[in-house]
Amino acid sequence: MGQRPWTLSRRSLHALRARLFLAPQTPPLPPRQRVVTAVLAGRLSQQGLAASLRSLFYPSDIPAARNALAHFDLADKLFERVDRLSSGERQRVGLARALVSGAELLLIDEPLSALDPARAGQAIASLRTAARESGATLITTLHQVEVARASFERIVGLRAGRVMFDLPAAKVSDAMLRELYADHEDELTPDRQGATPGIGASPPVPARMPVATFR
Amino acid sequence: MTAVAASYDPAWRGRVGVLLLAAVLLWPALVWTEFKPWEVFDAQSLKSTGRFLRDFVPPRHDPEFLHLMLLQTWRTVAIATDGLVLAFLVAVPLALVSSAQMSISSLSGRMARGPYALRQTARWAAIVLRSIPELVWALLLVRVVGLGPTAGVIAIGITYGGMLGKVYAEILESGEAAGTQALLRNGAGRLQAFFYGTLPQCSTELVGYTVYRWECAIRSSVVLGFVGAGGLGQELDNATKMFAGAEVSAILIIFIALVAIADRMSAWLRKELG
Repeated sequence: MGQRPWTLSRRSLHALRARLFLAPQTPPLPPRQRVVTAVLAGRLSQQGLAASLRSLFYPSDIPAARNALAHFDLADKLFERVDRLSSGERQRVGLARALVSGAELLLIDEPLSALDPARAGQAIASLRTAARESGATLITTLHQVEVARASFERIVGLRAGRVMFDLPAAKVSDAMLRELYADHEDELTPDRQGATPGIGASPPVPARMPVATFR
Repeated sequence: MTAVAASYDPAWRGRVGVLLLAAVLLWPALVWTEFKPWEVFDAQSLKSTGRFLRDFVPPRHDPEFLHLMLLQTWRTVAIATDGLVLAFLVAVPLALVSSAQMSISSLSGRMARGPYALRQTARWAAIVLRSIPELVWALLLVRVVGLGPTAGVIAIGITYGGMLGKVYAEILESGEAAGTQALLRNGAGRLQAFFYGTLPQCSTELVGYTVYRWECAIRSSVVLGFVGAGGLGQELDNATKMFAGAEVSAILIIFIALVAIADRMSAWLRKELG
């Protein structure tokens, strides 16, 4: 975005924050909030205080929230409370929030950690479509190597805090991945991923993981 | 020799020492406070107490008196409620400013110096407000605004404003910070993050504490009546001074019933909103 965040004043730094969307791995949603409010909270930086208060009284854009949730098969949960959802559903609500945010850069930490393989494929596809439609850059961290190779254009391999490779997905070879996951090859086998999706498959610290980007 | 040593409890010296020390420390306190419980039982005071207590039964219950009591009860509840509304208005800005949850500068590194100073100032303001009991505020205010409920309302507003402000800020800080900070990190304003992140997280605790304070304010407004702030307390004060036992007992019964009802109501409200 052509700016150096470390030299910005606090005001312009906060304006820059509005153009990014950071989704933590465990979505921090208040348990007593309704799903529709939790999703529309992704838009706060685009609206003024008065508009966001009005939206608490009556949700400002129910169709947008429903549409974002529909991408993750959650449209029927629109008016449920967050504490009635499973952790996988909460994670998908967090992703729906990313969809309505209108940010130019989506930074999503392990979007699939609580999802089963079928949901994971759908979630990645929805994120890609949304990013393409809005012209946003999508960066995620993933442990599912196959998903990264199949759905993303560029893959960055990190090991112990160092970049092992930074290549277009097509140029990432099996040998490179084996080297990246040396001593942890079991994580490369799809079987194991299928059996323990999500956090169970994450490597011990220091982290070894491909960072997948899609533009 | 060994038999003698074995029959001696090495701890008793310390025990006796602590008892003696306690007596030495407490005796002057009893003298200074002129604590002479036997005076309650001397013939003179037993006789007047007896007369006063005999008057308690039956409590006064003629329609004219009951009507007056109804009005004064209502006034007591109104003083408490208005005082609490005032306290709420004082407490909300104090809590919002003094809670560190909504700090934007502490997202990146340490909290900036200006906001830090502002937060400390708000904290100190809350301490000053609540460190002076509402009874003292009422005594001072009766001189300023004259006898009547206004003094009571303002007194409760000031002291309870400080209390609510402090406890609100603590509740806001004790909640899960991740939700609020995620919103701030994505560019939301402080108040937006408060309404979408912090408030839904803490609303039950906030409401529960406010209702509990309302109950306390009802009890407090009775006491404030004694210094001339109106309501049941003032009636109780008048009745005691005139040794009107029947009125005192009637007012005490009303008072107990009022607190019991407030207690039930706050329990019900907390359950409904929980």
